[in-house]
Amino acid sequence: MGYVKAVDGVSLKIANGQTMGLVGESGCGKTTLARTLLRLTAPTGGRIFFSGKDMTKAKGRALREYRRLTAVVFQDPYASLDPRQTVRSAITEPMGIHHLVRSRQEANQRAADLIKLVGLNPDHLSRYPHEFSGGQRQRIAIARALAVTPEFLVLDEPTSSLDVSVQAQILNLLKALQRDLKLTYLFISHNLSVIRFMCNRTAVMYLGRVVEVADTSRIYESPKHPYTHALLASAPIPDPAKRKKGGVIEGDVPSPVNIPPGCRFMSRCPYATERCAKEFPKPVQVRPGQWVECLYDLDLKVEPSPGVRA
Amino acid sequence: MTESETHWTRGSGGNQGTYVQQQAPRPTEAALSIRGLKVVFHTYAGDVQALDGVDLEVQRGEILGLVGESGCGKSVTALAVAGLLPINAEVISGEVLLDGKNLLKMKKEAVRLSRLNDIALVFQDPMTYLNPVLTIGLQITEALTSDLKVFAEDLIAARMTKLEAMMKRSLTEEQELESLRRAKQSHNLSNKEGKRLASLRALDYLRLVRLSEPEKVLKMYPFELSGGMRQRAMIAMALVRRPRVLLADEITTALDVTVQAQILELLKDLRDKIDAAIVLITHDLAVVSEVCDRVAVMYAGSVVEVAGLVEFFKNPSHPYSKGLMAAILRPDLSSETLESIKGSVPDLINPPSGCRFHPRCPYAYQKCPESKPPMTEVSPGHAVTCFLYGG
Repeated sequence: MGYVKAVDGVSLKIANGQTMGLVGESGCGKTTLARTLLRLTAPTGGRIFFSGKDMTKAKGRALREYRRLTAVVFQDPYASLDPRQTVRSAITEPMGIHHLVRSRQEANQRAADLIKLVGLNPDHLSRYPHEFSGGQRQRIAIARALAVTPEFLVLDEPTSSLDVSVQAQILNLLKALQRDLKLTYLFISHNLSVIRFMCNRTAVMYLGRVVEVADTSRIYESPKHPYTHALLASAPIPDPAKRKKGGVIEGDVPSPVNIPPGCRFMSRCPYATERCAKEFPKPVQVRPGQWVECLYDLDLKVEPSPGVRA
Repeated sequence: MTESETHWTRGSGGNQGTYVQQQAPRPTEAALSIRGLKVVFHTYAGDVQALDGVDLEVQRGEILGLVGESGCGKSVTALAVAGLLPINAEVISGEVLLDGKNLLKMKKEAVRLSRLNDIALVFQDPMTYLNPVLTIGLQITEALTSDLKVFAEDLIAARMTKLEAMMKRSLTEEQELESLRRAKQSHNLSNKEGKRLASLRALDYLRLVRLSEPEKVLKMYPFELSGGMRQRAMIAMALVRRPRVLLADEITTALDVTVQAQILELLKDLRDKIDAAIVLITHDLAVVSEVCDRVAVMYAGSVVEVAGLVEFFKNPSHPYSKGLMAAILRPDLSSETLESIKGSVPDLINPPSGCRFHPRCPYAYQKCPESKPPMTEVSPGHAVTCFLYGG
């Protein structure tokens, strides 16, 4: 028997009303991190603060209040909605649990408001999930998350199972909701384009650690960690003029069981030296607000873009 | 790697004419062409009109990107070509021509043979398509040893070319060459010899898909490989019988972005080496842009636009293609707003009349719900089914 250190010593701060992006490949610990800070998974160490209050050991009333202030939207709306529950029931259920409404009538009224807020029709409330398309289901999941009037929303790959045209609708909806309801988001995705569109700051995870965190524009224009750079270089670009000419990073993400000492990215890093095998890279602030876990201050070039898309 | 790279390109080097059923390819004819293909699925809810007259052509040596959203019929098209449609599907009309022969008219056994010899498929999730209790080597060589008679000549010839190409041969290699010559004359290969040759071929193909330590991989089980390695093994398996058409259905969708980049790189490399027509089915236009030569866009069961890659990205013409292009985000550019296509994909049990895109189309007018627009060429090699461009 061994342990999988799914998330190993992560420190992050998310400012009020902002969107923090969490990007990384499968198995890097993005979802475990999100579950831990929602108190759905118990951490083995470290602390979680929400609005200055320590929530790591919160119990009873304090935990219930924390559950009301936070909500989550998962990737697969086919799995996250109960097929035997009407949309109305799915949306009003959390209101009852948190005593947010005084009567059934009030709950139904709020459900109707919420369903309109996410771009659906109040007629849809009496239907069942199977009657909706993936995009519509994701709207329902968002309405349900908003039913408890949360301040902080974890969006765990909310558009990964959707088609591009529908993805655009959902992303626009999420941006509008954030602006109107002053929400704070933790946006998890493996899609670099989506992260760039949605997030103010971005954290890049690799094998359970945040290897780089900075303002989104910094991450995309002047990354400092070789993994961030490799991710950006691997992302396909919908522009034949910018086709990649070889030079992609080798290998797969190693198993998180028995992680060797030293830098975790060493086995795939083109700049790795002997020092990387022995010394654990501590997070260094290379520029104001840009933290990197790399022993070296590398000069990584990103091909410049021809300009900002209109 | 160089010595193992040269000999499998069909019709080049010393191996000319040894491939089974080989004919001189007529240069202008497409390796695969699909004409007016209509497929219906009979379900309890009603008939799903999955394909509504698909027209497509793929040349040998090119990668065609078949794009569209889920449910648009990309995969159904691939399954129809391979003769693998489920039992409740019915081909209403149309033809699938492989080197001029209509696959849909063939007898069952002939279709099986053409699937064995000419058409290969690779799917999204390699773990579903690999047998978990057999080694990778066994699964790759199975396609060859199950039908040794067909492949004996090809295997012998390949091995002989390789041995003859070696400058200094040892005594055992001389003996092997001699026994191969005899086997070739008598058109007879023992099972043991066949298996050995087949696994040598498997090794070559594992090298071709750039798996490191191929000798080790041959003896491994699927669970011992990572996602990217499994997909490479699947590709090797698909290529080992030298297909004329390779249908790759969302082969990178389940992979991480760094591994996806590796597989796409491999696909570009293979295009020049295997001399097959490759159809890359994907929902991701960025993936198309990285590897394809031409693009075909599908919507609700038919191809709405076909164009060369650069032309398509410069000048997408069908309103649906325009909508798709406006809805994609780029990792290399920051953007403040994002366009989306209104509505959602139609229900194909009761599809919209006329042009199936008209309920979502910002340019739709009177004519659109009335009749189906024909394929109209807007520039050489660039065709659109939309009344805005005539028809």
